[in-house]
Amino acid sequence: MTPDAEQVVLVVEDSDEDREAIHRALSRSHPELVLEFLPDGHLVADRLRDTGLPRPVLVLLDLNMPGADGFRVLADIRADPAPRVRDVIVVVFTSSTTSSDTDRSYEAGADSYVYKPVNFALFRTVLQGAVEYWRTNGYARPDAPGAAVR
Amino acid sequence: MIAGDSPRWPDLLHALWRTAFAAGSTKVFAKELYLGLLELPHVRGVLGARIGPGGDVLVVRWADHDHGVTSGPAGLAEDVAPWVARSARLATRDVGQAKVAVLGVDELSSFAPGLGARVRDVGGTAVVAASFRAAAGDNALMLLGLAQTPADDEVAGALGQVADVVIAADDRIADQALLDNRLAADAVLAEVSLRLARSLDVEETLRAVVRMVVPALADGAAVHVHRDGALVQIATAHVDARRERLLNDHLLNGRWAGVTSKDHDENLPQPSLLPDDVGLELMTSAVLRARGRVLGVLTFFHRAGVRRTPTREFVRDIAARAALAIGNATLYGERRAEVEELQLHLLPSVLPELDGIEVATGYNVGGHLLDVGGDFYGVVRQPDGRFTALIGDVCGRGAAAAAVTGLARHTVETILEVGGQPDDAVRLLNAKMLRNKVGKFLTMATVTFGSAGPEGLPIRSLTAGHPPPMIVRRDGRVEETTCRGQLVGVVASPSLTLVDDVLRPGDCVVLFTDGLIEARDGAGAFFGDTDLETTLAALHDLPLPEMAAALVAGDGRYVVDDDAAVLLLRYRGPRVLDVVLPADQAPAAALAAVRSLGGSGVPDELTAPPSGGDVAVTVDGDGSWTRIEIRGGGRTWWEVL
Repeated sequence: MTPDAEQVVLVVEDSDEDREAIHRALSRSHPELVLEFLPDGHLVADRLRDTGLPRPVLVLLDLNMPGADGFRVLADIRADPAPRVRDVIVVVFTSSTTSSDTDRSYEAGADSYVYKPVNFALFRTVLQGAVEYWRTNGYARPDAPGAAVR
Repeated sequence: MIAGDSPRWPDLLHALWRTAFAAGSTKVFAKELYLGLLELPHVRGVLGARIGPGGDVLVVRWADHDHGVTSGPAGLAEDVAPWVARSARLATRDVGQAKVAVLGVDELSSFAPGLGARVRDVGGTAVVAASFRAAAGDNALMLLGLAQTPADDEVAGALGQVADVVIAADDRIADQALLDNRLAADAVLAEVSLRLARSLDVEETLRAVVRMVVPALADGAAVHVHRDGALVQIATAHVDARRERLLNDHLLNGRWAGVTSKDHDENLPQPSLLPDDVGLELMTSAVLRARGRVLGVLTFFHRAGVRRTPTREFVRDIAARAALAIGNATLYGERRAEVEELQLHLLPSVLPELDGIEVATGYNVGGHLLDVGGDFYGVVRQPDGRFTALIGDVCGRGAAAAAVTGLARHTVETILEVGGQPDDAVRLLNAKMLRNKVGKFLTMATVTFGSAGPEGLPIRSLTAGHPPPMIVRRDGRVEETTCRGQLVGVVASPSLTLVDDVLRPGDCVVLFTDGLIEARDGAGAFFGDTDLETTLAALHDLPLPEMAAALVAGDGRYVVDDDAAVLLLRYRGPRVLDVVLPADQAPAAALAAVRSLGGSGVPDELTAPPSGGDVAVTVDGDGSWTRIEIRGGGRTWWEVL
């Protein structure tokens, strides 16, 4: 048997307020998750490649960030040759609901496209729902080798 | 040592109460609970399970001294299932809110061998098990594996105390979840309403709606709308991109229960009949109905056994709001089309061809307005060879303004067509409006073009309360004509001061309505206050249709959100060439025409852009100013010499 382990969720978000809200939303409902925040998309690939650190089970990705925006980050993750980078679950978490942004995100390889609401009660519910979905599916991409959707 | 006398148990229990009442999930205090129970005397292993109303084992955890706490270890749910099946026949006694059973590991192994083996593996010879209710109709089981059969009731008493903690925390967490669900539903409604109110793009808005409800209130969603007698799938959403594609595909191919417009089916969860791969066994449909018309169907999809489903009230509410928005947008679109059509009827369909004068118009129908505006323009050829360009603006909008617009334009044009002077036409129109008590006023400007002579083309400008016509000279200088006058339909004898000017080839007269000069930029500044003259100077060399289009578009810097009309007339002088030629012959032909005018500074060659096929070549002007235009392939190349 393997005891319950802490799991890392990498949050790529440039807004201080949204980082705080994400922490508040997940800390009580998913205490087993360790939230690790990156304010800049440029840092994502190096963090995912770093074998000295735990591999995140999921990346929560904002789309609109200065510098490398979410689309660029997502494309770089999916193009990476290393499976520990390429096959990570990526949930796009954005205030945009435009179909063009959704389509672009899916084309770039997003596993989820989740609307980031203004209201905190809804924000918490949405975020918990998305994380819980991937938790119950073992944080595994269906297309990744050996993964299966339950 | 017995449980009640354990120096640590009261402290553990107290800490557990505190943790349980701050927890947002039973997961939060599970570790503390299980490790605390392992501190009880002779306890070697702890099992916890949550059992659904149908007897399904929903959640299992195991803890022992060697491995700590583990959630959902392989096979444990299956090992617990025989206990669940047997539990009704076990001898129990009430301890607080729990029913407690005590039995040896041999008896346990006789009906739940897997569970018995787990207890034995950690050194257990007996078990004490407590069953108690949990929230949402579930039941809970806490089972302790002990190294010896307890000699008294203290361990059972401790389990009864644990049951009190778990029941209280579970009820509170369930209440909080219910409240969170309601708050989320209210928030979805509020955000959806804001979105619906802001947009007239129905399909994009419906896509946003399904995106906003997933995964907050449903695991999947889709919306269909009636179009041309059929229900058309507009959008689907699922928290998993792969399953969203599957859902979309299954719905498009009819691999589901289908939409229904029947009221009695609304809001009742029913089998979705979707293939298993999408994992959405149930669905709830809501008809989108506005003003008695069924506009479409909004469908929420759910996993089987999901606890969080939208309430009947929520489904109806969101459907009603979406339907109303669709209805409003549809009505808006219909009304808007009518307005644009009517507006065009108030404008001349064809402007006359004028020798030596090029004419272009631009018209912007106010972006958000549903009433016909009162802007109008026209060009009238007069019996003595002159012609007059006119532009006007009736105050107000709607049917009354449209009627006055028609009256004004046709009255003035008729008077001009029979030889009347523009100021006479304005005065007659003024008298007619006052006599008929029209109750509206209008502004108007005219420019009458005479016969060209050696000095140029004489013009006479008039304004009746309207922005005076402007002249953009061929070198880019911009002049406002100095005519002045009172508006039409207010005073019995409006004062009108006409003014004469002369146009040289290349000069352009600009008439416009106030919708143009009242356009604002991002900082709120008016186009007409500081920038119009600069813009006219910058645009003056453009082909006239391009100049008109740029002006009514605010030159890309100002938002023209009201009706705005522009009438441009460029005096091009004599036309010395007007032919259609193969593109490669056009530059040479144009240069030959320019040279025939005898002016100086004629280049040796033209660098006209390459173009296939035939092109139309025109050369206008005199020896001091010449304009060449070559048109083909939907583009116009020009050069001013």
